[in-house]
Amino acid sequence: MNSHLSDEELIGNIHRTLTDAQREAMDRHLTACPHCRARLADQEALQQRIRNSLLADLRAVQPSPGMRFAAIASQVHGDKHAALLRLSRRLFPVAVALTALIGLGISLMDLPESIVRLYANPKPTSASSISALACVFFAVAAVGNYRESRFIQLRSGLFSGLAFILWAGTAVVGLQVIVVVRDILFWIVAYVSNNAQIGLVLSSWALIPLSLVWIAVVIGGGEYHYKRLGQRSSWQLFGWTILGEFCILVLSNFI
Amino acid sequence: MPDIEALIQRWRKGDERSAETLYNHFRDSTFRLAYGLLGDPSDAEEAAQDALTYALVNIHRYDHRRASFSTWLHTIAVCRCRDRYRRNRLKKFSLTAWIGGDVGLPDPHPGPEHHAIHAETSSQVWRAVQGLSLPLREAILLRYWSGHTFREMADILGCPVPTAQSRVRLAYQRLRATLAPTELVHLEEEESR
Repeated sequence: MNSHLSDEELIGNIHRTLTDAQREAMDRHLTACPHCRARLADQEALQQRIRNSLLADLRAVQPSPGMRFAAIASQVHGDKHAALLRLSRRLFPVAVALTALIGLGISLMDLPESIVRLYANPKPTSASSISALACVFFAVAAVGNYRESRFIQLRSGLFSGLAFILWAGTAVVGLQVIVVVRDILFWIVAYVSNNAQIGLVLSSWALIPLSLVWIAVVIGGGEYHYKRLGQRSSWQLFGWTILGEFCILVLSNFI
Repeated sequence: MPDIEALIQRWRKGDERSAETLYNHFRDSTFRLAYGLLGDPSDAEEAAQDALTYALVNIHRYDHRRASFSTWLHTIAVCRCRDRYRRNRLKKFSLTAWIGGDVGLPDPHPGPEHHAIHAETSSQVWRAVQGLSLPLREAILLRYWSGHTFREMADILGCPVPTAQSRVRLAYQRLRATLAPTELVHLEEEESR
């Protein structure tokens, strides 16, 4: 006969967290092992006692008489008809993100020049302040939605639009981040080797893996956000992406 | 047991009595869930009232295809409790106490309500549950008190199903470890009375 069941397995059994295969194996073992049957019964009894005690504690408390519908009636009634206010609250993050995206689009015209600038004048350049500002705008738009519930209906499509703008925006900022990372790399290599030419060659080659990473992040991130549209995890990932990009952009200004 | 979906439909059309029925139906369970999470009746009342107000005001956002109303409401309640818990932690932090001074005095005159409720809820299990970290307390209360499935718990807590499962298991193991065997015997005696 196999060794006895572990505590972990018994606890998994009473909390119904085992897979079908695990449960079947456990049932087979329990049929042949009175010792484990007794341990399982003990665990079930203990769990039941804890549950009953907790339920009794909670049922013993009552909300105060002040907690009644009348206390919130005016708020519920008033807000229900404030459709305009609700719409403006929803539109605000979209407008903020759209403004940032347009700003980024304008600043993108400078991107080809910033790529070749390093070769004409081999010293790192500071990142565009428009990109950093756009990151702040995107963060406002993403964080504003983070607190929303995952069960919100996507009736207006505003969430889809906002997620698309944020995705496109972070991708565009990502392009500028590539240039900035290359410049930072150039600076580090040139500083360490005391040779600007080596820095120039290495940082130029680094553009290839950086571009591949960018493509992977844009495609992978796009799929992630598409599958979790309007959910907190999506806004959270936007938040972290924007924070990362913002930090890299700001870092370049200190070099 | 009222027909929740019918009440929601009527409230969406503007029938205030349906909103009141919904409120009354979910008031106690929401309050008790918040009380279990926060351990303080006035905080729990505010969090529960916030959650109920939000749910009723934003009823158009509820989608029955995604979750039941109670799951949606409990998602909001858990969010409100998390916010309040974080704010309370900041409020309770005393720089002087941290440095070593004996400041951060408790309320010298707690009201009679405080005494009554404290006496009611000072069982060993209750104290052990209040000693759990917030994620474990959320898991054990949603499972034991609200009776949610692991799938619903994952939705409410914003985590994968295996994480919800492991949190319940871990919370149970912590409770078992905290409740010494003698206390468990005492619990058994209380129950048999």
